[in-house]
Amino acid sequence: MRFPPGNAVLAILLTAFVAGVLVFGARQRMASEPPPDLEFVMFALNHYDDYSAAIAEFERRHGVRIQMQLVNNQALQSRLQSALMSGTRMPDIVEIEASMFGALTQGPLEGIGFHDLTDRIRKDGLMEDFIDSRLAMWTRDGRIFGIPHDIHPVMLAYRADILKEIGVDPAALDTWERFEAVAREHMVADLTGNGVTDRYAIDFSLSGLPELIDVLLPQAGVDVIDALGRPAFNREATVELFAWFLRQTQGPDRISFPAGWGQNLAKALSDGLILFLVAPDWRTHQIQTDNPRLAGSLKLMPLPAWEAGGRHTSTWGGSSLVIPKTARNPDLAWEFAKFLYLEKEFLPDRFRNTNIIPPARSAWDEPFLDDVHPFWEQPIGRRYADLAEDVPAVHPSPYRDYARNRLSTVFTRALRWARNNPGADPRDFIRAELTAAEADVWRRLDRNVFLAPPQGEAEQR
Amino acid sequence: MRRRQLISAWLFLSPFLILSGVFFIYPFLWATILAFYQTSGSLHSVFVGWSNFRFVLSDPEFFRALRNTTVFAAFSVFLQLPLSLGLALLLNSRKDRWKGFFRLILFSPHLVGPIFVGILFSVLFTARFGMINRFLHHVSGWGLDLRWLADPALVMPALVLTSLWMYVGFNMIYFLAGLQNVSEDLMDAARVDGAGPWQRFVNVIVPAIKPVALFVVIMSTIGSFQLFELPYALLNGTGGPDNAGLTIVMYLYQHAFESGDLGTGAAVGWILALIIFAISMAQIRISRGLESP
Repeated sequence: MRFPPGNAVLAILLTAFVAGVLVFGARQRMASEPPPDLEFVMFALNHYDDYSAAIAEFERRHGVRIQMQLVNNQALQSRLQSALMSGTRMPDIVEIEASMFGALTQGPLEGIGFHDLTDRIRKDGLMEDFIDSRLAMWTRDGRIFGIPHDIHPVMLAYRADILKEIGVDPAALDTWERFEAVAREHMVADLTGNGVTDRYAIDFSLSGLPELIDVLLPQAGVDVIDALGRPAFNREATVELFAWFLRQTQGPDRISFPAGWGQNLAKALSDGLILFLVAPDWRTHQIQTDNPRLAGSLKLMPLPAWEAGGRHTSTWGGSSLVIPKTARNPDLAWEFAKFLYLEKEFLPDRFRNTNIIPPARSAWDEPFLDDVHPFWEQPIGRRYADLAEDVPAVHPSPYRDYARNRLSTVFTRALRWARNNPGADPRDFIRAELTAAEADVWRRLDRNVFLAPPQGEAEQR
Repeated sequence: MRRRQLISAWLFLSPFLILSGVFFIYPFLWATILAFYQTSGSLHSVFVGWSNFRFVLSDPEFFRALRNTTVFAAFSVFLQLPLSLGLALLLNSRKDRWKGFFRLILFSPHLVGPIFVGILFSVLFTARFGMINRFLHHVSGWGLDLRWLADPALVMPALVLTSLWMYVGFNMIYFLAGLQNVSEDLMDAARVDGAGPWQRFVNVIVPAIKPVALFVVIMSTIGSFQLFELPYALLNGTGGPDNAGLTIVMYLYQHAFESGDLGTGAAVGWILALIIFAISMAQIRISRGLESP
């Protein structure tokens, strides 16, 4: 019996049918496996390696099964955004990076796709255990949506061997003014006499990101977006800081070299092309991994302050655990989050594997932080913990990333202006650019119909 | 019989119609509607009328993106295509077995994809340690500290160089195919008449490859205006210093997917489509104008 439309159509329909059966069968097989009690997704490889022991213990204590997934940072943000936009299911608990938080919590407060953890944190007595400045990073309109993984105080890593050789005492570099003077006089050098500078004092990028905008501005008490959601960078302190950073990064008297990341940074550090670099706790692990031959040659010191007696640290980056509203068991997810980040049994190994100090005050007296690190030959945990209370607050916003990039544009334009006007004072130019940048951020803020007007808007403008 | 033929025809057309409807017509209509809304993802939307278009058309960043994209497109057409044609002419003149080998070598950069190329060149362009600066310094004693991706003045040259490496072989293939239309008899006749290489090129080769050339110019222009992955990978997901590498599609991406405002993204998409349409029509008209006596 012939198939009336013809053999070709029959072949197509049969192929489609077989494919459909195969897909259905595969789905049925997947559905028959017991699902995990918690799907836990994260982006950092070192966290993935580090959490295994804690997760195994949690599974044993609670009789549950947890599935860990490692997803690339950018892919994780894209997938979470897509899931939030379309209202589809997300993992039960996710570790996200600070830069994602603004993008993932935009829109109306009631539309945020994560559980509000404020009452849970308060009820379990954790409000006092976390420092306010750290909780601020995961707060939107007064409500906390993430439990912090870290504090990330910042110090400077430096080539102690070279500084000793050239007779510079790092303890004397207590202010940036002093640092600049000593750097120019003793550190920057053309060692081979070929007209090419072979040694610079410090690694500073030419875009202003991250050192200027993410680290030095907060250290100076300037935040890009304030706690009320307003652009807060158009201040005289910012002008002064930008002008200072310009002097260090361009012109014949510059003291910095943009060493970049990864192998380029490792080579610059091992060659002595740069002597100092900004080092939050997490970065020290990267530095020691990329430069094993510098063990004993690198040390850490607090940031020079902007004025005598000022703040000697800042913060850079951060991650937290958030519980999506689609989580199947938010209570279990919350217990898991607390266990993973706060259970003291696992904190020593976590610190040894990552160099990241614990986020809670109650852990800062633990003896493991006083261990002398074999690479740095210092008790780096104690050094970072001593700075933790002084870490400045960083406030999230859906426009934070835009504001940061806009500030980077201000700096890049100021750099070009300075090159075209050597020796001239860039402050008036920087002031005008900052005012234009602030207007751009307000323009975007104003047209967002989903955000409540930032408080104190009238006073700000 | 006729009815059976009709059913068969519709059955054969149905995959295309279904796929077109789902992946083209529906998104096209939805994007048109979306352009008049402000959204926070797809779950929250508010009708804002022409506000999205007004915002985009008064945003200096959009015009920066438009300028960058236009400059890139101009380099694509006036630098990349002549190079592709030159390579095609060179290869076409060879009649040995190495022709296929060189054709593969020149075409193969296109096979690896813009993301890989962007990441690769971001390493090559590194100041002081990157191969490009090392080569420049070795050859000329200059350029060791050139900041290709950190200096706004050098970002566009970096993008153009990268795209040259990636696309010149791809366009060369089209020109090679077009050169097969050149009549050998006409070339011989021109040679016999004393026409030099340049005269043979202008009077015999160019008219013969004009349809292919017009196609390549239009496709290259459209592709240039849709540039996204290459600068996104090269500049690490940003528009580069002072947005020197920001393209229109990157601007669309920032609004639609990073800010979650699909409505503004749709408005940018519509503006881009109209720009590409206008330029393509202009190119076709110019080409027809050149053809008419």
